[in-house]
Amino acid sequence: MSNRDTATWLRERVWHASIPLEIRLHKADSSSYDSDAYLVHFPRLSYLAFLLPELHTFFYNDLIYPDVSWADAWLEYDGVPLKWHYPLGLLHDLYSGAAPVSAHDTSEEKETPSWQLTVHFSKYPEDQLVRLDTDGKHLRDLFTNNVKEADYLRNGTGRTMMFLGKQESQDLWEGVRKHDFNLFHPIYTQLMNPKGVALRHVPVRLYLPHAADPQAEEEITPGSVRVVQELVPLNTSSRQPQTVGSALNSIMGGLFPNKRLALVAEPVLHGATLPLDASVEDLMRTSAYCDGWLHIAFALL
Amino acid sequence: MSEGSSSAPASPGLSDDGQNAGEAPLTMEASTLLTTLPVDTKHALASAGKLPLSKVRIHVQPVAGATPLKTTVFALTSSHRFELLVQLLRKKLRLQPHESLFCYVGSVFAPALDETVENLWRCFKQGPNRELYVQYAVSPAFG
Repeated sequence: MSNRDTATWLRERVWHASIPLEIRLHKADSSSYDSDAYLVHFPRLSYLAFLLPELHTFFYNDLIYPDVSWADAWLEYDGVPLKWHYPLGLLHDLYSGAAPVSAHDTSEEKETPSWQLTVHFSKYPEDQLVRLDTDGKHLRDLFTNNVKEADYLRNGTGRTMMFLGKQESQDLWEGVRKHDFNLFHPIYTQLMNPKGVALRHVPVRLYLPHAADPQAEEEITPGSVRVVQELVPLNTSSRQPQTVGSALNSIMGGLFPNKRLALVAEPVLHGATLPLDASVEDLMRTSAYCDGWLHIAFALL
Repeated sequence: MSEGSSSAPASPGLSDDGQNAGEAPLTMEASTLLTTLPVDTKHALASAGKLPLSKVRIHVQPVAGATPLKTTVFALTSSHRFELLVQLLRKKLRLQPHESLFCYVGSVFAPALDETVENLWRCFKQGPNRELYVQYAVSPAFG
């Protein structure tokens, strides 16, 4: 395949990647002893909030207070409320505990086991999650601002996004909401190839897990995820194309003392270990999330 | 651009108790795994990519008719969430709970409240004083 074919193939593979979900109603909100689970294959690039109206309908007869708004619902995995502005693929990479697939993996492609989530319709964790509204306005604002921030990093002005027409902005969002590649892709391509300005930086966010400060000797307290964001130029200072390894080495040399070899943790994107020699620009063009960011999680070695 | 960038930055009058530190919780399963790591690794994870500065300078600018503040430069603890700055500005502007405040970076985007001041400063600081410029308005200003 030519480079262009490979890029298109990858872009489509990433777009169509999905994760099987098994969502159960939390027992505090359920009037029945044993309600069914809601099963769905949901796109990695999409946002869980889009599922809420359907989840509300599905669990309506099991809910203690069925007249609650779907915008009061929230999803949780193993005690962690799942953020609305993190795409599903990132949440899965961060929290599911599933081992990432690596390029050295010679075994046949395995089916991802379903990820078991819990939906709540009460006790909204206000301190941890943004409130949603039934018009979907807050979710759209969160998405749009992430797109703008990425655009600002890419070209240093943020103008490409600001100068999109009303219809184009609408198509971009509808493309995400309906997971419609034909609506989404033409606008996204404009953002990735701004007219009259050079690309400067690749929008990258790194999500690092770390243990809590030990407070009690015996008890294990929940650790946390820290987001690290730094300017990642397209080329290194020695004018070589920036690779995943060179970027990680310059942002956190303590964790990545070597540009070519992961010693402590491996970067993970879309459920796969990222090769350290991959160019960040190529990754941005083929494998970024809908908001234009490379959201990278880490698996400990 | 407003003046006052060379004056000593004011310290915000909000508690620095770490409640606003920009971190999300981790699952118990992963937390348990992390406790089994060698000390060096734990340390490398906890400190990786952290800014060597404990505080960063934020320069606030009123837009779209918002009230100017006497103090325009604040020093904020770098690990705090952007939310803390929004709370601080609300307090300084004496806004009522029903009144909105919109904050932007570079007149381009409104950061999510859980973004850290550190990350924003690192990517978007400007000028000789290396300040993060934040525009604030009481109605949406940058479409």
